[in-house]
Amino acid sequence: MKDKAKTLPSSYREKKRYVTFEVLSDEKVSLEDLIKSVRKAVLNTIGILGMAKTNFHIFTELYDEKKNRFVLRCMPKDVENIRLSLALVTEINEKPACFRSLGVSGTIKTSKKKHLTQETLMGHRQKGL
Amino acid sequence: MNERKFYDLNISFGENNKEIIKRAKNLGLSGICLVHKYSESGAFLDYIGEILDLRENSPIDIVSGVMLTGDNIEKKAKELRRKVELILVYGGNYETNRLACESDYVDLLCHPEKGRRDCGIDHVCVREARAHNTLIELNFREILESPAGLRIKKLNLMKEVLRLCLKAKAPFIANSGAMDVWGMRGSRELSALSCSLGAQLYPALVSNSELPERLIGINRGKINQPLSGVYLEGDEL
Repeated sequence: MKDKAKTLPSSYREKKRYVTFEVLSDEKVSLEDLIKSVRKAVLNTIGILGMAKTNFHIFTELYDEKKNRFVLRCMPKDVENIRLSLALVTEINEKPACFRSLGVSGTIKTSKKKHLTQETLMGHRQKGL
Repeated sequence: MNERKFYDLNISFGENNKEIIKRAKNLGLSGICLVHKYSESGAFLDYIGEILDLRENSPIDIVSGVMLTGDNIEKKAKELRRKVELILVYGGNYETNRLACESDYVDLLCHPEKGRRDCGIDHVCVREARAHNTLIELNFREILESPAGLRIKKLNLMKEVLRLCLKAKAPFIANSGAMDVWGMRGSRELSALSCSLGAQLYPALVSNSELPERLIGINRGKINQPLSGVYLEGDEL
């Protein structure tokens, strides 16, 4: 027998939401700086325990460099808290910037379809994501 | 289905108004109020002229508003009622807060908790605000510009303001209070503030969309009246 748990049925899995954000900045923002500032902002607002409970994750592979968009995951009840924590960001890497939420979806597939550009999606497909 | 129209009713009127309008459109706002700090009549007339110019080519709704400070707020508000669409009061002092809540001429009480150790309003204020339809503001800039330690205190005071508003069913609104484009925030981010501080999602959304829209509609009707209480034929009452 393989040492691997079976995939949980959908009713047993935790509910998730995927929130797409756009970075508004005059200068180009690197993915590294972006992740750093997002994690710091969320940590400052909802704390370590809150971050752990909300199942927080930033999808680096879904970063849309062209439109400065990225997707992150949290639990449904924490969507507004995440929105607030990112709204409190005023600068990224000492340059003025702010975040704007584009929408919330229940699956990565929908968030890709709704908010990411076709070119990004093509790139993801080529990489097998 | 009609899309919700979101408003930000407290953005400072300055030199980069066109940039502000562009950013507001980008952030998904349907209307903004460019607020002038009332001081003298000459500057006020220039402000009104510029608002009319901006409104002509704007993709979003531009609302005129005046921020009143100091003494004689009631008198100034009465004077300006039929000249501007919104009258805001600079809160922070209990007496000013109470006066703004009790006045029929005032539309919005800004940051009642500013510079205080308590939230600046009590049950009397919120009841009066409900009776006189004065919106109580949660100012996003107050949080944004305060350092980490003070931010907790500010959020706590705002939570208290919101709790009182919800208890007395007084109208509230979350505004950015932006001085430039970088202080501006999107419609859902502003609603997220009220939502995170204790309001339900639906009232938080309504407070930033339908409530200001209705208020602006009523005030525009008042400006178009030939005399107070007299309506032109065809106008809605």
